[in-house]
Amino acid sequence: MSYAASVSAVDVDVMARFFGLRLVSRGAPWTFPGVHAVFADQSFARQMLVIENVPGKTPERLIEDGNMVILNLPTTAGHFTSVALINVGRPRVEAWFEQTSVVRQLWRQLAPLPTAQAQIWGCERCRLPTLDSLADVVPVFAQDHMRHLMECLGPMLQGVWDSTGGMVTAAANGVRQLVTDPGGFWGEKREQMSRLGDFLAHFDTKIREMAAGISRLPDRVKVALMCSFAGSLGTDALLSILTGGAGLAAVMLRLDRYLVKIVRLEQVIGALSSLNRLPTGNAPFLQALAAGRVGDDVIDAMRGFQQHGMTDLMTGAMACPL
Amino acid sequence: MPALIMLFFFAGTAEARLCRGLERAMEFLNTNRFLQRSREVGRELMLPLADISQARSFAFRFPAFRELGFGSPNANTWRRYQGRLAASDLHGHNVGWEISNGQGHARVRLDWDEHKGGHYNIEIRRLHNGRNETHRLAVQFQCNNHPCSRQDINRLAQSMQ
Repeated sequence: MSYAASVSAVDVDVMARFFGLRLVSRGAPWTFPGVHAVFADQSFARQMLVIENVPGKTPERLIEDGNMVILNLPTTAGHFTSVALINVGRPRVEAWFEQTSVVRQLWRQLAPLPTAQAQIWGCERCRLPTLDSLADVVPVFAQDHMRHLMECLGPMLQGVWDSTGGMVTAAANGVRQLVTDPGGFWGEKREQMSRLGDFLAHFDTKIREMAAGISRLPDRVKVALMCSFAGSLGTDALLSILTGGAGLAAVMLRLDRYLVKIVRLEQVIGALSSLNRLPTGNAPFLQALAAGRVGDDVIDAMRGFQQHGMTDLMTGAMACPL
Repeated sequence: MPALIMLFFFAGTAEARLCRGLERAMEFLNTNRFLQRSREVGRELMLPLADISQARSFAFRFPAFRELGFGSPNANTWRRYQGRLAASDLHGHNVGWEISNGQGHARVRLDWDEHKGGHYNIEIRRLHNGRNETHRLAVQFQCNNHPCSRQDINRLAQSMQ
């Protein structure tokens, strides 16, 4: 078996599964944040970003940079696949190498590790949680709504990415940087994913802090609340989630205002949810609410109808601002 | 193309009508505002809603009934009301409920006429500052997004027997 063939057999989907990560977005060829594929866990805390078949000489094959491990795996002659694993941990990466027989040969090609370091990793690997027990170790792992959030936010971000020609150019330029400075390239992507993670965590935290009635809502409703908010954002605002800056601050402010309205509608949303009348996914009414197109008079009307048990009028009022 | 424009126009006006109705329904949830508006207008008030579910919901849960001392329409304290107009198809049919007590008289009944189409009539008579006053509200509704026909209302009345 040739060395190159062994490496090309590495399936990034299988690799992601090993780390307990699932596909968030795969571009054709690019997706946000200027990579080919994004994988993440339920809480979006651990991520795997992939750029496949980069033309050029394979850079250093394993780079550890803080909470990120970069693997540059040769594929065909003159090409390599670069994988950035964020918050996965080098011991876990090492475990993957050891478990994956076809790449074990590659692992041996890497610079031998200092004995003491290897021993430390060995001990850490002993304590590594299995995927089944992750829910016990990290409580948020058991909550799947972050993943569901990404199921709607991912395509939106990808659509924005596809629609921005300049960003595609930046992505192509970035690949050149990947050959010469993989650490710098992936460092920037890590920052963008970190901002996205912060954005999701901010929403999650706010929801938890909100009125008990809201925080107790089923995950599908929380996802609808968030997806509708994201759907109300324009291209620039959505991009600012990745790129940060003043745009992101404006998005956060808008999110806070939206959540204030959600709290005012707590009883209404709770009633609609219990009746299974609340639209799931990207709901037009919630989008209008997020965009500030639902006046206080409509919110008051919905609350009034809800308090008097007039469900049909409550749902009718949802159609008015649209 | 003109047909499409007309469709959008009517869809738009239907929605505007619905939203105006809901706005007014919201206003009439406040009993004082309803009474004040009724006195100002001095005749029957109109409340256009989208369909019979909305209209029934509003008519039978109309807060003024409860807040003026009649309670909400129910089979224990309210009695059946039968159509009385001899010329009407609804004559002799159970079409609503009414109550008379120390507070006055209240009634809610299903009705149809050419001007208002299908609607629930709400009527409240009470003594206020030594004077008898009557407040009327017609809660109009449509049948399948079109004005209800007399036959539509007759069918609805049959289901109330």
